[in-house]
Amino acid sequence: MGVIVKQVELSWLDRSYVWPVMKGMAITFRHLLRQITTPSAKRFTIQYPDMKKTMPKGYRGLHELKRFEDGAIKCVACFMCAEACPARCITIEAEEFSELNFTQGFEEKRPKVFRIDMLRCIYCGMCEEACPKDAIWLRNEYELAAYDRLSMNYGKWDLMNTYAAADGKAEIREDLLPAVVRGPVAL
Amino acid sequence: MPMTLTQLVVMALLQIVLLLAFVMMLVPLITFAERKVIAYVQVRLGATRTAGGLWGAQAGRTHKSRTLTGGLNGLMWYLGRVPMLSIFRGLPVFIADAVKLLTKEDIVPEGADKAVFILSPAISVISAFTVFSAVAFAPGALFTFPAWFPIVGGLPFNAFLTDINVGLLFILGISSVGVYGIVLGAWASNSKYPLLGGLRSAAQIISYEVPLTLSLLVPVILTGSLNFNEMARRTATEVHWLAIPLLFVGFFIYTTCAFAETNRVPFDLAEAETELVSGFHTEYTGMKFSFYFLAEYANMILVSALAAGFFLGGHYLLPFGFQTFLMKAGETAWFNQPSILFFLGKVLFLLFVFIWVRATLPRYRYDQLMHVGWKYLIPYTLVLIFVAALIRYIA
Repeated sequence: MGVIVKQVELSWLDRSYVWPVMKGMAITFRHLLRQITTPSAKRFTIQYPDMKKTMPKGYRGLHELKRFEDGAIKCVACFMCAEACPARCITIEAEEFSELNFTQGFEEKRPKVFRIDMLRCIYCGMCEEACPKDAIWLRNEYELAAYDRLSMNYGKWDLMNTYAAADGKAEIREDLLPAVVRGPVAL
Repeated sequence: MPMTLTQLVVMALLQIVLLLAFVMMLVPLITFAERKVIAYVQVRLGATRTAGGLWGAQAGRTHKSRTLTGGLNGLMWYLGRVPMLSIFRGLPVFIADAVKLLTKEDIVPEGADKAVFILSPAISVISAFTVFSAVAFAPGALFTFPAWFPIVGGLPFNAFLTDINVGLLFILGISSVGVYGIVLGAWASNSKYPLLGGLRSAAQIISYEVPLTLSLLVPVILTGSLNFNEMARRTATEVHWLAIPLLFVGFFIYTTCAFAETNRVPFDLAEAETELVSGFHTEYTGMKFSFYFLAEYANMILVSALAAGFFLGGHYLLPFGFQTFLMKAGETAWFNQPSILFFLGKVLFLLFVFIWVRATLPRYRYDQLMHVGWKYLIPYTLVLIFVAALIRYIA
């Protein structure tokens, strides 16, 4: 199907160059005036390191591994997030731990290693959606930079404490309960 | 008071130094204004943090109150406000610009004609600066040296270097030499883009010099003089009321041609980045490039000064000869006194217009440029001259 191109018939005023030029100048001058009269705190430009934008509610920034009130990790190492992750940036190794010093029947699961490669992560939030325990959140922090690649590998304790300072919580550096050590299983 | 030779020389040198200092200081300030104005037109902020630690935005952060604005800026950032100095924080960018130009490596491309290559920016800059000797910033003396002053004590310090009878002729003649700098530099670069830029520039400047000069003939006819002072005074205060629309139209034609003459947007075909890398000064670096740069901006100041002098009422308050009506209020009223401030104000406004137009208009195509120049501007100026002659004949 052909498209009929509409030929715009310019008036003599528009063809004279002078009037359109003056209109354009008026527009730019209006912009100039508006920009000058706006106080610098209210301009569109955010002077980044000094001014920061408050991120919207659903913003997906740096992850946090949530904790219970007593400081135990919420994650149960179910691997749902690692499965859901399209970038395959989550590495989990599970371990067992026990509240009582029993070795049978009361063990629970938690991650021994929970690592996110922030250079691979695309901040899609699929891990957050997949998590059955609401243990991983993507929150508003976005200033992620480091001098080397290794520093962008966030481990379990890094992820537990990413928002500790922002929320005014204590930093956690070790598990409350010891892991259950299993001997080799004879088949 | 008759001056001795020594007094003449010393006075001339003082005036030259002041004039050069004025132009040389104005050029970097224009470049800074250009950054800022274009930024504001495009709803950006422009240069804001050249200053670094001493004056800059970070001063309040990293240096606390140790620095000049540190404490104040820091307090304002702490309160969640942008510091008051934010408009001027980019101001040192013009010093940075100059330092950058001076310290850059000076490259002469292989196969370039060395002598011409070095000479041509000098031609441009010399012609651009020489013309200022005929521009009168105010009709009389700026101030009188006190009697105790060595050598030139008691003598008036004029706001013009020379009061040439054929000042306008001198200005046009010398300023048109500037195009040789461009063409020769382009040719000597031994490179294709500069050559194309130079050829374009030559064709453009030559074709726009015609309507420019013809439009300047309007005030010449109306005043019957070529002396800058005389023309400025008469176009402002003694024109027939019929000539006011004439000056108005003449001003617009003159300004259009002035844009083309100074290679400014929208007629910057000589250095069209999108087509010619950067035109005639592609191969120029460092000091030589800064000479071209200086020449371009000095030419901007010059054409602004001419427009201000001959069309916008020169040293008087009102433009386009409206001052004639004010003159009935008596010579002694403050608004009837010629002043350097009026003149400089008009020049600065026109420089702002240059920047403003640059922020607004896209570049013309080459054939459009020639079309406008030869088919419209030249016939219009001829008609203007005819009408001016008629008015002169009637009045």
